[in-house]
Amino acid sequence: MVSLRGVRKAFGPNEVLKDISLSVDRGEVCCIIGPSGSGKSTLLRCINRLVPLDAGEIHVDGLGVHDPAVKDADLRRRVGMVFQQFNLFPHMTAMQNVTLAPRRVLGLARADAEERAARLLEKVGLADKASAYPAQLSGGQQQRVAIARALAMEPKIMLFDEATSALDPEITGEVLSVMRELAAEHTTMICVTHEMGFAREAGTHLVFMDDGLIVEEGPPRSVLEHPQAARTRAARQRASPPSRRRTSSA
Amino acid sequence: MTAAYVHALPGLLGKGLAATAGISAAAMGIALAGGFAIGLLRVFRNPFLNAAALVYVELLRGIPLLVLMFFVCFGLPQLGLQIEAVPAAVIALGLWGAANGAEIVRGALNSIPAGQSEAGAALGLGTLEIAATIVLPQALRRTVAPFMSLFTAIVESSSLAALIGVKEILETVRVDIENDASLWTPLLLTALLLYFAINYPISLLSQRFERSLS
Repeated sequence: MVSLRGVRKAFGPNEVLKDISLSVDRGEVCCIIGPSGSGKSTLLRCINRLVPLDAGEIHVDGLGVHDPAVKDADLRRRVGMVFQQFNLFPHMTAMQNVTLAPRRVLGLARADAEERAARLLEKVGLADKASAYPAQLSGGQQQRVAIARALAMEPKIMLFDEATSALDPEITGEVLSVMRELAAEHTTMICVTHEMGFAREAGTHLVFMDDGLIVEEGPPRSVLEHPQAARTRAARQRASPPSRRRTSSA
Repeated sequence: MTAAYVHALPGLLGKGLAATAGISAAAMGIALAGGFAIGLLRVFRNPFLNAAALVYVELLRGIPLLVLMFFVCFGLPQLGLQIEAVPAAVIALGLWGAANGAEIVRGALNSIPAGQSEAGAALGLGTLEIAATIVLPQALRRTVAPFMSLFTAIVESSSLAALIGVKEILETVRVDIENDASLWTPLLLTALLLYFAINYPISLLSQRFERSLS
């Protein structure tokens, strides 16, 4: 479904991604962990072309992300993205946030888009908040609307960029449970996360990145319980007990 | 004094007030339209248009409005461009207002977090759609209050037109005072009240806009 080969990216003299290769199959939940500045978010943003590649190849559902002939819109309708800071549109209601792209990009009629949005808002537990503006919602509720907004494009793959890092620890659970539900439905997901509990339980593949490189990867339990690389061991120790550690928002 | 004051009032409240209001309104129109046009150019990626807009804004904000007004009224005719006092006042105020308006628009556009455009892009929206549906609607709200401040500044600065001979409020007062020096205080007080009477509703309107948009 997603394959990266020899991906490189530098911002000025700062080499953020150094030769990354990774393959994520349909239905897999790939969690990317690693210290701040290790290139996790940049990697995610390369997959939907928010950040252009310097070298290498990325294929998403058969489309070459590195291929200039592939249109942004064709790529991005296949790839949903959820941001750390939610990035809901504050001047639109939850319903309008969710229906905007299906109407404008997919050309759905208003009634069809609203029906789809209502179904998705119900799925994320916010059926009663359709007419609320983002400012009237809690952080967890905003992030769930953002997930519904991304799902409304019926993407082939979902990218989660530290989706719970800006939330208070008490309310990360409501977002994680939506993510768990998606994982259980075999949605293809790539999640940059600090939530070791989620990575261990919902993840099918775990990638540990450090300094622009994939240091270690494999089934979550074996990477977390029998880490080969010293950095993975250190990170695992820092993160235990899992998922209760408050992470700073960027 | 009272008789002279009453005699002076119709001119002040009639032609004087009309000239101030007319010049200000026309300059506001130019400031608004020009401000948006130039402000949008400032955030475009086209380096030539961007540089041209930058030069305009910096130049116009870096010179005194009175000198600009003198130049339009007395300088341009020597270059073969004859402009009457009233249009000269409107042009100078409008050009000055447009430069300040451009900064308001640029500031509002830049104040919208980059994450908003990114979220739109990630959903597959194109650059123009992102601008029209996500960035501009949010930025527009943020221009309302500063544009209202600019409008009141334009009304106040329209009094500079007295110095190029436009018979607006201040110049009407000056001529009357030259005929009767005892009118200094009452006529200037009246003039102050008139400026306030124009600007206070703008200020009220601004507060109302802000409340309805918040």
